[in-house]
Amino acid sequence: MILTTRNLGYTVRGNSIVRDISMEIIEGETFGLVGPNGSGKSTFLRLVQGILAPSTGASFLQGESVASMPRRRIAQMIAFVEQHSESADRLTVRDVVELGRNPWLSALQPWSRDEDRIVGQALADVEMRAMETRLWHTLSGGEKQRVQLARALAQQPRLLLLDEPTNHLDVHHQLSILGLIKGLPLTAVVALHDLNHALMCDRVGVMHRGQMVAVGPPEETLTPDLLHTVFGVRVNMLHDHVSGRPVMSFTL
Amino acid sequence: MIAAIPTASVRGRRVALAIGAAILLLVTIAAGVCIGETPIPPGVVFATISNKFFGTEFPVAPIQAGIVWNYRLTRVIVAACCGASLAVCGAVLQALLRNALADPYLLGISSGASAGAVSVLVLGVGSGLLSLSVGAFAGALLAFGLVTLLARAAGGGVGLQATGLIILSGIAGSQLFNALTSFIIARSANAEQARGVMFWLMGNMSGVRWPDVGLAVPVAAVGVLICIWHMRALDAFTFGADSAASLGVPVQRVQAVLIGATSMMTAAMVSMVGAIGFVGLVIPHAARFIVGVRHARLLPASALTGAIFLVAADVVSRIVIPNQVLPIGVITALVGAPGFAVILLRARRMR
Ligand SMILES: Nc1ncnc2c1ncn2[C@@H]1O[C@H](COP(=O)(O)OP(=O)(O)OP(=O)(O)O)[C@@H](O)[C@H]1O
Ligand SMILES: [Mg+2]
Repeated sequence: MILTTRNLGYTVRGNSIVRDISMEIIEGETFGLVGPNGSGKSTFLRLVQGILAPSTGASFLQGESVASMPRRRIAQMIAFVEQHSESADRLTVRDVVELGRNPWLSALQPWSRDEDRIVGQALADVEMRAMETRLWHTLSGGEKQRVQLARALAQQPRLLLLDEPTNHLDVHHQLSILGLIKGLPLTAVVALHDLNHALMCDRVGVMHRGQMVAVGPPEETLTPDLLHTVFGVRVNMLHDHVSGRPVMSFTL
Repeated sequence: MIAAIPTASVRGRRVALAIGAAILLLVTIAAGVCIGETPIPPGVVFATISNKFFGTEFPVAPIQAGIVWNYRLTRVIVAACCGASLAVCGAVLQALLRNALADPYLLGISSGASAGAVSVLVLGVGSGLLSLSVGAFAGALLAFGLVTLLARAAGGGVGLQATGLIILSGIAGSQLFNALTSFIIARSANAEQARGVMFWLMGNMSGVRWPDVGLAVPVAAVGVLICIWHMRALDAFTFGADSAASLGVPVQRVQAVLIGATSMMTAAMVSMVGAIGFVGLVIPHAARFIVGVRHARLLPASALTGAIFLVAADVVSRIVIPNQVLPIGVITALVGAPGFAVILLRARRMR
C-alpha cells in the first residue's frame, strides 16, 4: 500500500467538503478519480499530501503518517500537478522543470550534470524539449500543463497526484500523456472528467458530495446506475471493435 | 533572453559579470571616500586605511585621516550594507508575498521607526537616555509586531490567502503609525525639529560612525546569508505557497524565518539612517532584468546592485548642491525613478 487514508475529512465553516474517506492506493496502479464539479476531488488530492490539514482522519505514505513527515520527504515521494498554476515571473520552461529537483537538493548544493539529464529527460517525455527556452507566460494552456507534468516527473516521485492533467490537451496529447503515466514505473492518482479516460485506469474512485461512493475496476464501478445518480446522465456502453475496449456515450 | 542551459560560455559570462560588479562596488566605495566637500586624493585614502588596518606608517595629514576614517569610510560602509540589505529584503518579500510592489517597508517598519524617532526627538520619550536609533528601532519592532499579530488574527496562519492579509495589515499599520508621526509633529514640534525629522524621514547618512558600522556589517552579512540560504525555497514560491509546499518547502517555517530576517534587517537599517525609499522596491526589479528571476543569481545581484546604487546615491547627495547635503532618499528617487522607467521601456521591447 503506497497511500492509505483513514476517515479523511475536511470541513470549512461548517461545510464538510470531504467526508470520511478511507481507502488505499496500491503500489504501481493508475487510479482514476472521477466526480462532478465541486465533488471534492481537488480537495482530496491536497488533503492526502498534507498541503491542506485534514479536519478529521489522517493519510499514510507507506504506513507513515503524512502529518508528521517533513515536507521535503513528502515531496521526494509525491509530486503534484495542480488544476491551475500561474506565475507572473519571467520563467523559462526549463526553469519551471528545474523546480522539480528542489526536494532533492539541499540549500546550497550545486546543480549537477545528473540534474540536467533528469530535467532534459522529463522535458523529452512530454515532448516539450524543443520549447525549453520559451518563457512560461507565452505558452498555451496545454503546453503549460505538459511543462507542469514534466516538472512533476523531474521530481522523480513514487506517487504522482494529477489534478485534471488532460483538460487543456489536444486529443493526441491526451492519449500520449495518459499512456506515458500508465507506462511509468510509478503510482498515479489522476482526477479526470472524461469517463472514457477513466476506463483506461487500473481502478477508479467515484466522488459524490465529498464522499468516495465507489472504488474498484472501472468497468465494474462505473455502472449506468451509479453514473446516473452521481452525474445525472444516462450512459450507453458501446463496444469499440477496433480497440476491443468499451466506450461510453452519454445523454441527459 | 535568459539562457536556459548554462553552457561553458554562459557560465563564463556570469562569472565575468559577478567579478565586474564586485570591482564596480569597490571602485564606488573608493570614490565614495574620495569625493565630498573636501576632495581627498585616492593615495591618502589608501594610506589612511593601510595605517589603521595594517599598522603601516605612511605620512597622512591628521585632518584628512580623520575625515577618511571617522566620516567618509563609515558612511560608505553603512551605505553599502544598507543598500544591499534593503535590495535583498525587497527581492525576498516580492517572491514570498507574490507581489511585485512589495518592499521592505511593507510591514509598517519604516512608519513605526519614524513614529519612534519622532517620539524621542520631539516628545522627549526616554528623557534623553534613548538615542534616536533606539527609539526608531523600538518603533519599528512595535509596528512589525502589531502588523503580524493583525495578519495572524485575520488569517489564522501564514498560508496562501494570508499573503494578501499580510499586505493589507501592513497598510493598516503603516497608515496608523504615519498618522501618529504627523500628529506628533503637528502638535508638538517647532520648525527646527520638524525640519530635522523630515531630514531623517528621507534618509540621512551624516550621523553614521563606527558603532553603526559594527551593527550594519554583521546584520547585513547574516541577513543576506539567511536569505541566500533559502534561495531554492524562494524559487519554489513562483507558483504560490501550495505549490511551494508540494515542492518540499516547509512553507510556514520559511515564511516566518524570512519575514523575521528581512524585518530585523530593515529595522536595523532604518534605525541608523532613516527610511530610504526606492532601493528595496526597484533594485530587485532592475536586478531581475539583468540576471533573471532565479534567486541563486537574483539575491547576490540585488545585494551588489543595491550596495553600489546607495553608495553612489550618497556621493551624489553630498556634492550635487555645494555646501549642502540633500537627504539621500531624495536622490534615490530622483535618480531611480527615471532609471526604472528606462528599464521598463527596454523590457517592453524585449517581450
Ligand atoms: N476554502 C473553501 N471554502 C468554502 N468552500 C470551499 C473551499 N474549498 C473548496 N470549497 C468547496 O468545496 C467543494 C469541492 O471543491 P473541489 O475543488 O475539491 O472540487 P473538485 O471536485 O475538484 O471540482 P472540479 O471538478 O470543478 O475541479 C466545492 O464546492 C468548493 O466550492
Ligand atoms: Mg478540481
